[in-house]
Amino acid sequence: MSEARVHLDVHRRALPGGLVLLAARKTSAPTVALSCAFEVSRMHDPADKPGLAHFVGQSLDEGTRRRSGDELAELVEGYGGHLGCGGNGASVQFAVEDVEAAADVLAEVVREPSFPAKEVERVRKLVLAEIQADLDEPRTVASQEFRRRVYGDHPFGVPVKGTAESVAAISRADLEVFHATWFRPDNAVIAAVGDLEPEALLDLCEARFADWDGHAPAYPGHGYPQAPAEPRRLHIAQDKQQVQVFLGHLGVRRGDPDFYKLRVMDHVLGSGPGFTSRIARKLRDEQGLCYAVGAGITGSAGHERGVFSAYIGTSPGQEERAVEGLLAEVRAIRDEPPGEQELADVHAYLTGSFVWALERNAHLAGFLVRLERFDLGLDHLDRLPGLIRGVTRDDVRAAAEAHLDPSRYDLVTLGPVAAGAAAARS
Amino acid sequence: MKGAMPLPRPLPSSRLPGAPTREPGAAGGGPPLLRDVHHEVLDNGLRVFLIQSNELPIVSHWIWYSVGSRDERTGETGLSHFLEHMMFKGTERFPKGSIDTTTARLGGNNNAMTSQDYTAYYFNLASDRWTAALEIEASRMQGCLLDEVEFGSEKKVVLEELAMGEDEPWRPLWQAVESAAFRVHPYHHPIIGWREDLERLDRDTMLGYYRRHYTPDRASLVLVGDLEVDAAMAAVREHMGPIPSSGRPRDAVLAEEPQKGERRVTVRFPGNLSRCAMCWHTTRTGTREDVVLDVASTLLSGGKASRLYKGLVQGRELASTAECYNETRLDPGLFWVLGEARPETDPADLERGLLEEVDRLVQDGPDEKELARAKKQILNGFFFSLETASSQAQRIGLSEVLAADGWAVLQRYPGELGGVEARDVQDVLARHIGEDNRTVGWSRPPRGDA
Repeated sequence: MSEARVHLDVHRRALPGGLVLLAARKTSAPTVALSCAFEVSRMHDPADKPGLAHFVGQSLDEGTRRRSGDELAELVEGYGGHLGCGGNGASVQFAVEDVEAAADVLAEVVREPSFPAKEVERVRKLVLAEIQADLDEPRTVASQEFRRRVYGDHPFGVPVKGTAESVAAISRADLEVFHATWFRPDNAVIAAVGDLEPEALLDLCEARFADWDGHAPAYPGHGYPQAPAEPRRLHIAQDKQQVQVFLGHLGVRRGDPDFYKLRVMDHVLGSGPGFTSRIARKLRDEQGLCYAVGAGITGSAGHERGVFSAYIGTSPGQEERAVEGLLAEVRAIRDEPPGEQELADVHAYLTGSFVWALERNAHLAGFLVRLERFDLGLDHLDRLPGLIRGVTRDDVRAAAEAHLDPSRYDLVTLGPVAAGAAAARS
Repeated sequence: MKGAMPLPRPLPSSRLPGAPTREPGAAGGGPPLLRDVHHEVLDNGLRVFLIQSNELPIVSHWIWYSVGSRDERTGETGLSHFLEHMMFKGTERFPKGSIDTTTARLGGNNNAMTSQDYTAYYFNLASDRWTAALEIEASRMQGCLLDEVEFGSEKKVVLEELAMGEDEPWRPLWQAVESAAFRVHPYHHPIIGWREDLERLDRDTMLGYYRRHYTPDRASLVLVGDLEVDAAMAAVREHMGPIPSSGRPRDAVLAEEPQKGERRVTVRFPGNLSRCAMCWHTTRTGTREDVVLDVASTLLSGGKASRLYKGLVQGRELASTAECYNETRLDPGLFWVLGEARPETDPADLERGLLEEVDRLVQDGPDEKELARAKKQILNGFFFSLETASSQAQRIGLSEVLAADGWAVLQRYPGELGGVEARDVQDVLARHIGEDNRTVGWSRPPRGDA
């Protein structure tokens, strides 16, 4: 894609209370998306109550100071709209003719949730059932165990929903305190995208949030565990058709100076589209070991360190070869710079493909939130091609050597017992 | 949004994980915002649809073949989907790997999907180079190499895809239910095929299948985005025009005989929870009944104010999730109701609860407010799909390959939707949602665990 052709006109307004509003216009559909995101994650869960942020998110639309959860659902769905709530805020999608109602709903759920006791108990049971349901998904189970080992006692080691024990221990007062503490204007960004003038979108939001005050405490910090001195393996025995394999270690923050070098590296190694990356090409296309495979380090990078993880789902008996194949590619990208054509292809893909993430109003709103959260600048899209093209072959190799380690990693496999025996021998 | 997580259902299989899924009510279509469709049929029978939309410099390029697992004969199951994988493994003009490399170099993306009734391939590309997709599709409509070595290695990939599906909690269940509901019609077969058929399939069988079904008169090309109609049509004629048609219509298949009594299946799945999937035979895509069933499924599971959520997830707390899908097809399809039992729920209570909610809708019908809400949700779903070129192209393509009179169904849809009354919902449900037309499946933990 010719890089200059996609320019995004982002309007920004910072309110006195610290709330930041962002808006952009999209004209392809008569719709609008609004998103209010707080800087809240598992980092903010009390150590003995993991899952609290998630629980708050699941309760936001269960009742407000103005109406019950039922009334809210009827209101939103009566407009044919969508309301999504999560631990870090809420988002709405409505027809543009109903934009006032959309903004009202958003303000109501993030500012005035009432956490009705009866509904809180109901949500608790639902979350507990969902935790059980997750245990029926082999890939989810393997992934959760992998993260638990990589992150150790860092909050990211516990699943977002928490555990059955922690969810049982969360009280209604915990929800109220958490909301009152962290859902504050100086800890929030609101992005609005749709078929309206950006300034009009900003005005709509300002009218509903300008009188909001209060300050969130400082972002909580937590240390990270050391990587194991040598490969650390775990096999989870389950009667399944495939073996789920997760391999990797702690990764980087979004603000890491090597971020764009690693973004390019990811696409050479294991995150490229189709079979363009090395891991997909070799393990799937050439060897037929799997249907789903991939690897990357930048996708999970945030304010906290993400993970470098390589995943493959393969038939029992093949996992040893798969693990060796993944490790061989990790070693190769640390040892040798990518080929010239290989790098040129990734440059072309990354500088041309970002437009696909901006098509949907809700996706574009999410992108605007990230601009603010990670301080990327309103002209980020204009600068992105240069950042990508500035990454050289040697940069890729050096970044891989600095951030990937094929000798100190966690390996989690899940599948039939015999498969685990094979993995343990490898 | 909690409670609105879509359950897995009989969706098309795709070459790569994470392909776009059918939008709610997608086959039904939407209001006359699609009036600016340019439609033309080439001499060789290729149906072409163009929509000009200039907001972003992109083009979404889809080709839909009227072939899917419905067209597979005994012993050949899984051919359509396997062939879809092979279409990326090299043509006379684009050697192995180059379709993906070309797409990536152009900053685009591609994928494909196979359903019972169709196989679709798409490229999303920048508008100054979208004709690369046209060149690739022209080359692989009849020039796919189906290399013997590639056939062998890709067969392993397909078998891994099949194994992956068997490990997912919902997939074995709905497959068992669907195979029980259809005994005669080829909808009985899994899209991905039966394992033994796949293992035995040879390259020559695939080649014969490919030659039989991949012809311009069995295809619809849909382009949406920043293009100019005359220039785009000239490019389409240049690349697609010379490809010969077969002149052979799609083969008829055995019709499913009316079901005469409830059928039940149980699947043992290594897991914690019990899951229920039930379905009834209904109607074809694009009929008036299809529109009414879209409304019915929205009334039952279109959000947190809908009946299944309010009744079973929220009210009686029997289910952690409960969903409904109107899945019409080229031949009469299925109306699905699915529920995941809470750990403490007696499965019999959940099954009774699901049936009671449906029966209550048949008996009492929706109230006026509820009906208006469902209609607005369906219409807005259409507006949301206009946000991307790709989802617009999908709407047209799906209607064209699934509905008896093709994409014209899109033009009729808003009027028909507006005319749906409470009485229609009751009548259409009463006609189809009876015990004798029902297939009920349960996925249960292994014996001894529950």
